[in-house]
Amino acid sequence: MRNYFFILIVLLISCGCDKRNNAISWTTHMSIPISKDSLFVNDFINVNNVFVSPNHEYYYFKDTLNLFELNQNDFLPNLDFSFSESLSFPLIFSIPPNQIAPVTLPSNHQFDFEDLQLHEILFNRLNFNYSATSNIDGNFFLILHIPTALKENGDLFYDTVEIRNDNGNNNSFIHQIEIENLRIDLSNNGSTYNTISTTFQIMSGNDTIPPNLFSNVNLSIELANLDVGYMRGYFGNTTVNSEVNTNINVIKKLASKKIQLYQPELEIIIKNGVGMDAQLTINEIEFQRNQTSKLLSHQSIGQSVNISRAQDLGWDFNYSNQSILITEQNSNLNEIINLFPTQIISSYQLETNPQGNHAGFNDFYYTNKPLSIDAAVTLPMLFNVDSLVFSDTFSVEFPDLLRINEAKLDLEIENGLPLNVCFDLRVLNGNHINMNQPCLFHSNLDSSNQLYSPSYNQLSATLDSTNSSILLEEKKIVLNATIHSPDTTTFFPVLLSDWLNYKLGLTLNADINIE
Amino acid sequence: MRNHYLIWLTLIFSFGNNYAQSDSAVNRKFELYSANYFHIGSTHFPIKLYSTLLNGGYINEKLKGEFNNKNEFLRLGGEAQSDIGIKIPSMKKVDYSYIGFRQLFTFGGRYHQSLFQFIFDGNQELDFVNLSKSAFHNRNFQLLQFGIIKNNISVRLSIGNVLSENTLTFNSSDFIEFNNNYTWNVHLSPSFSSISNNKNLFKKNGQVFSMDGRIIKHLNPQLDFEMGVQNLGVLHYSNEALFKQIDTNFVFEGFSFEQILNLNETIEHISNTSTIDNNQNTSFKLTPYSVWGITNYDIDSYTYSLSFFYRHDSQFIPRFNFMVSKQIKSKLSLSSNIAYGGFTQFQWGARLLYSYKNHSFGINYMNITSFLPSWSKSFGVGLNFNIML
Repeated sequence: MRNYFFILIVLLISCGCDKRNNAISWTTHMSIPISKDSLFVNDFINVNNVFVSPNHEYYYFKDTLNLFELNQNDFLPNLDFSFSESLSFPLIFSIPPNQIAPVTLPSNHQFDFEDLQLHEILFNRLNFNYSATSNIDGNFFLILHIPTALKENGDLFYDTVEIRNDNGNNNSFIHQIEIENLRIDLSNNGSTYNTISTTFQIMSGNDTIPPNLFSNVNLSIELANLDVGYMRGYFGNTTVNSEVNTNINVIKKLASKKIQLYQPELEIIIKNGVGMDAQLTINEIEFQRNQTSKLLSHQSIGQSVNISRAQDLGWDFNYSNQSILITEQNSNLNEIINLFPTQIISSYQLETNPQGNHAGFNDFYYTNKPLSIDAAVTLPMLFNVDSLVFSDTFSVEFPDLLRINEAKLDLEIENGLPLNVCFDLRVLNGNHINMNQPCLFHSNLDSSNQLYSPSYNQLSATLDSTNSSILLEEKKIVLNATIHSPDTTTFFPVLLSDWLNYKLGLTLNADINIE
Repeated sequence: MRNHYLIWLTLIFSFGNNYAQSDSAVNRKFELYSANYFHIGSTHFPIKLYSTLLNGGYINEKLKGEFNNKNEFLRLGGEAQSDIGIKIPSMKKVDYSYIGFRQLFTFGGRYHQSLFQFIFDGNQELDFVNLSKSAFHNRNFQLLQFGIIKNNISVRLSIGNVLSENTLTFNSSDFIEFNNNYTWNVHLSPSFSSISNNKNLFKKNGQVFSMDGRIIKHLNPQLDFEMGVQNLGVLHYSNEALFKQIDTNFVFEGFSFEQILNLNETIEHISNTSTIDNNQNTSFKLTPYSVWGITNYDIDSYTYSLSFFYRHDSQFIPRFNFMVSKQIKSKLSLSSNIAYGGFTQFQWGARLLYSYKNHSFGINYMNITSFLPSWSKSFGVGLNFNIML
């Protein structure tokens, strides 16, 4: 019996320590889908903002480029709301702990912003930076009140600053607070402009403030990091000159795909979100590609355009919109487009409030509603194409345990495009995967250019050992499909509904290997 | 070396299905008792595949087995049970009290031929993987038993722990369909559960409260009938046990151009097509109990026995067994049997019983053909002994 238990224990320990030394493996034959999709001509162009014309005769590219935006710094001076005060608090009696001294010091501070005369301003965010010295002995509080300022919730604005002055030695104190959504009436109820009214009081802390007829606080306040959301007043009469460079790389992309463009249109859109009249002169618009450039020739160039102010009705907001349509009939645009420009250089002159303050301090400016000039480009495209390539890389999902003995790619194609198509498959390092007859003729069209039968083919390609190893390692297949016009003279209308279907699958003879 | 261990282990935790012999000691003495068995099997592949899975190696076509009927479920699985206990003579109303320990390990699978082929041959020759009602499990229980024996009846109560239990059951409508090389149509709604072990010695993530019962009826001096139930009770799960139901239905065609451009959205979409629910409403379930029965008919020195065995919530085929035993002298009995069921189909077995003074010893070889492991589809061996103290 003892022997029995001895053997049992030894065997249990031995088995517990033993490990399998050899891998488990078997051979499997798998079919794995890689991709199944429909391609349209737009997938080959691979450019955003391509649309189909209403009569489905052609595709066109349409995009809106921002040429110019009038921002606060472009037409308004810097806003500097800094002021200093020497505040005298004649304290006849001592102030017991936590009591406000019965002295209130009011003052007005008017700021000079050149032509800008503000009645109202809304700060999304701003900092109050205090710097103070005082001869008042002990810790006390300075209370700032701006009677014409309202916080977001409608409360009046008060700010209480603690000043620690243990020995009454005119020590310097710096204090900073950040306020959000503060609206300040800078007009004192319409009587003035650019003015901030303030009152100051002092309050004792936990200690008594001793009597002193010559108590004073020398104070500097700076309104810093101004994030302005809205302004109202008179914005002055200013002339702004601007030159702006705008990239249009998409046209370069179309040029590289050998697409012909015809009947281009350029629409200059002036959108004014500022409550201010203006007069715009487009000095010139120059289109550049490499070292070559062409100036746009159009009757609007060099002529001033009056821009009306936007309207803020409270419950509604109306932009002032104007546009200038430039076509190949009224300009040299055709010549410019065939240059396939990559850059637009435009220069402008803008005069604000050409008629002065005729709105009576009711100019307004929301920082998120500027005056902007956009260019909407419309480029119809002809598909007399040569080698327009769709390229994509697909993930092949199979387990890491596989060791490929033989791999075969299967490709099933149904071509509904009036264009010839050739397929090219590669593994990720660029090695080509040989296929027999990788090209397929265009679909057949009837006399009204309607598709009546797609062409069809089923291809397969066996991967050699090198490509199999790369496929196993990278798990990626690169598919390139190239479309060609059947001839170089015919204009082929490619419809939105014209498609190219393909199915790509992988059949594997592989060993599964579990270590 | 591995095979060597396996044979030894099998001998130690081995099968003893001769319940009639276990109560051969009637002298009202202390009795040390042990019944152990181990068997593995499959309905379609040779047991050498188990050996390959254990030791490593290449699984060739022969090891993958043969398929006769596409519509039948295929099965694989194994069980190992070790019982050790002591019968204590009682002075009161019962003959004996009993205290013992049981360790039970089982694993099993029930599946269609197409699933096995999908895993081991791939899908190139398949257009459909039928997952309907396929099920898999493994479990490891340990039980402490207390019982009484009086006349021809014995009753035992068990408390114990679930060291681990994992189950996976597919719904009747689950399948994967392959449409040529370009499309997989997947419909899965399996439920699975997992109870894992924890470090606490007594409070495990699953606890068992069950009973064993057994009754013997002597119809005449030559004929007796005996049946019993084992481990019938409830399993109580802790909050750590995991119960999930997945419901997903999608078509896999690789990835389209748009899906590759928006891969994150694609992954999110696939995730959204899967519904995962916690499907356990109660923290109790029925234990994987077993029921067995045997009838013996004696003529001269021969005994003819017919028995059955069934285990609930397993992928076990109810097993039927017919055995002829020959008593050779007073100490030795030799038997031969044929059986159908368990995790395999037909088996031809043999058994030897030896009694000497206060000891009895039995060894049972469930399938003689398992000496040819590349051909046989099951292997099982058992050991039981009684010692009067």
